[in-house]
Amino acid sequence: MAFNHKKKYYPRRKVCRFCADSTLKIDYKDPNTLRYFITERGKIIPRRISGTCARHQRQLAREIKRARTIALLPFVGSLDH
Amino acid sequence: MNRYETVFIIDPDVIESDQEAIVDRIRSLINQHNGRLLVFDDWGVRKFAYEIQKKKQGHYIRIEYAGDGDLVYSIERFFRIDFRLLKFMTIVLNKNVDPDSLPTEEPQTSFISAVTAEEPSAGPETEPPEANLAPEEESAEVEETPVEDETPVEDEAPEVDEVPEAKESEEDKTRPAEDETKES
Ligand SMILES: [Zn+2]
Repeated sequence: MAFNHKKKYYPRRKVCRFCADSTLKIDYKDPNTLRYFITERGKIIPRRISGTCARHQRQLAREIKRARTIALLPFVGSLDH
Repeated sequence: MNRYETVFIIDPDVIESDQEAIVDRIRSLINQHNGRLLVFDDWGVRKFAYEIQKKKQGHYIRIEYAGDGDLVYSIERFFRIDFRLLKFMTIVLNKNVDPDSLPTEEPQTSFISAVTAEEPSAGPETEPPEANLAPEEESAEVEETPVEDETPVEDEAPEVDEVPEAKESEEDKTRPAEDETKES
């Protein structure tokens, strides 16, 4: 049957990684950590997927943008990496 | 007086003595404006995530300093005029710091190890680490100031997962001064 599978459930909604581990810093100077939260194309991964809480998502977005500004992370679509 | 953090990127192809001169210029600007250099953190040459003025890498230096807005203005004007500077960004770490409570120049806090670790192995044209760029007089005690990231929630843009890229710099500038970011 074509449609008997219901919407797939991805149990990917985790707890916020930064709430879980308070030693994990959100800092533009540490692009390796930030890299987990952007897609291959450089987009910020929405928190509904990453599970990051609202507060930390805001900090993440801010630090990712800073890192982009000084070329530690790519802008969306700039693939010359 | 505020406490600022500025990261600037020097064209890595500029000869070393000229790079030193740039750093000296920044130091003297800080002195002229009665500011104080607190941290000098040389990241060495790093590969860019995207090309800047046809360059694939640049010499990153991060400084923290105390000063007033006119100092930041002067430093940034210098950066803007000098073509050897590829990029810079300034962040306010703390507002209204007490100048007397600040040490003169702290030993650098090192993100460098973490940061350079991800660097793909240096190609033949990568300069050796320019540790000699600005030898630091060490101050004995490490006093780490708890500055960053206790930012109250309301200084942020409304909750968006992704913001159109074009708005980026403008948005940063219009943000409340507590957290302002400027770019070249
Ligand atoms: Zn969180």
